[in-house]
Amino acid sequence: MFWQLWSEVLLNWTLRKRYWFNELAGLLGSILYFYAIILGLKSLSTGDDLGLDLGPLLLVFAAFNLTVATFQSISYAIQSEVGQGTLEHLALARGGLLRQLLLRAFVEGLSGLLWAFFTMLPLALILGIELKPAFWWPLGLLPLFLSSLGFALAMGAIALYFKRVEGLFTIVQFLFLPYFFSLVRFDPWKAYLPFAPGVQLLRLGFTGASFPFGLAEIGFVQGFLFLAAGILAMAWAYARVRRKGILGRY
Amino acid sequence: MLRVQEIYKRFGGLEALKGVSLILRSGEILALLGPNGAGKTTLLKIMLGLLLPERGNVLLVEGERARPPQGHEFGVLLEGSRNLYMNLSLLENALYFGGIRGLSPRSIRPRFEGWLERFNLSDRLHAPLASLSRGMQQKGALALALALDPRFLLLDEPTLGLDPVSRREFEKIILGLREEGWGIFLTSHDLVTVERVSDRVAFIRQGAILKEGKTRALLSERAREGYVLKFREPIGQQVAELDPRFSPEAPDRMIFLGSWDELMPLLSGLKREVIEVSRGVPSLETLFMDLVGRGK
Repeated sequence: MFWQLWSEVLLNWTLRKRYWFNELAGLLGSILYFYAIILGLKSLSTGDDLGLDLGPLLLVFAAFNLTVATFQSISYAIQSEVGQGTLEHLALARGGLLRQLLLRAFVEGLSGLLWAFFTMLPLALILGIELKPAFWWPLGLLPLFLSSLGFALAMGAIALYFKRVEGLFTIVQFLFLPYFFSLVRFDPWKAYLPFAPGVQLLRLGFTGASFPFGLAEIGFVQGFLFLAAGILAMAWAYARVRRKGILGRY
Repeated sequence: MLRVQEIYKRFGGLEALKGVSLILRSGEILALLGPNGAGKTTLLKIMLGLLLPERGNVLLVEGERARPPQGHEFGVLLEGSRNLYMNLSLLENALYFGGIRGLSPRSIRPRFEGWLERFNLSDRLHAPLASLSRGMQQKGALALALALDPRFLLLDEPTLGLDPVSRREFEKIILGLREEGWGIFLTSHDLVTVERVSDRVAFIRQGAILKEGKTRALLSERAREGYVLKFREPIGQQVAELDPRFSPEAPDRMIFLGSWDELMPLLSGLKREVIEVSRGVPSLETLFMDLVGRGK
């Protein structure tokens, strides 16, 4: 399985390197997106103070970026492979399509993480936000990553069946943005909401807090549940399209 | 040996395959021929596991043992330019598709380069696929399919879109592979190529195998049933339209599938000068038209 993962890393790197201009523009777009939100809020507020702590807002935005990058990965991969006519070859991978798409989503998620970091860093510098990463922060990222992977598989299952799902992406993104920002003011009961423990763990990990065991437990359980549900959805959709004969075509 | 057993497949109200059984052995080329929509690609995809049949199975038989094959055990060329990423080079494609089959760059690269050398494509290793001709792309895809070290090669319309020179090259490659012991399953509308390369041929129509056997044997069998008529001048479709047992073989030749007694009364009504009537081996196209075409 290592070489399967490695081939996805190689493909990801090759394509990002080839289309570096678009990558750079996308990164700049993400930075401007957040900055525009802040400017918009400032223009609406009457005083100088927004009444908001920008640090948590930025961290939640990074979590949003990471989740969005991961959840779209499988669906985009399916759309792109169908467009190029190579999806069937992907299904001939060792272990089958499901494994290969999961590996691709994993690699996309990791690069999404890197992108979230590159987005967060300049914004923190521009807005004067001080980040205090705790030693355990990488562990805190895992639940959110697992949940995003699971969600990516579920979206992938829909894409496998319907092939084009950009419209659905738009809906999900517009729902996610206010939902993620609503987690900036975190209450204990919110720990049971989807993605919420992961987002809160990421936030705590970058504000120097001590490791919250209870929250991490909920986060990991939720992450694995999302992953299991995603795998089941994908397996179901894969069997269905193979029966209907619409694996590699619209 | 790859054994396809009693495959049934239905798409809604359409019965795409009706109990198809075939055997592909190592060191032979088996061609599946049929009109569009006959079920060729459906069968190929079922063999690869890309489609699930309603009934029946595909088994890889090794001595006494038989098991369902895994997708990564096949080298595959699917119809059209959809075997490789167009925005990557040949080498990048090889590293990716080798990797997803569990092969390290160190093992796939020399094998792939070796096949490219045999196909005279060594100097195109780093060229973007989109910059290569259709024939080169097809050869590159075949080189990759072979470098993956599969047990069998499954080729769907491999000569589609190739010019006559590339097609001839392709034939040579396929025949060379057969000599090396590869088992090759081929679907094609290119009957001239199939006639030249295939050991066995199966005719499929509306999801059912009509006839299957050794290519030469089937053609010789038909030769005993028919006659070749040579005309002084090229003929059009008129003769074929006169009786469905006539099939064009060349601009000045027709084959008649039937007995001498049946042919005799028709000869007088041909209104064309026949200069020779002989027993002859019909082409695969004649056989195809006779078996498959007439039922359309």
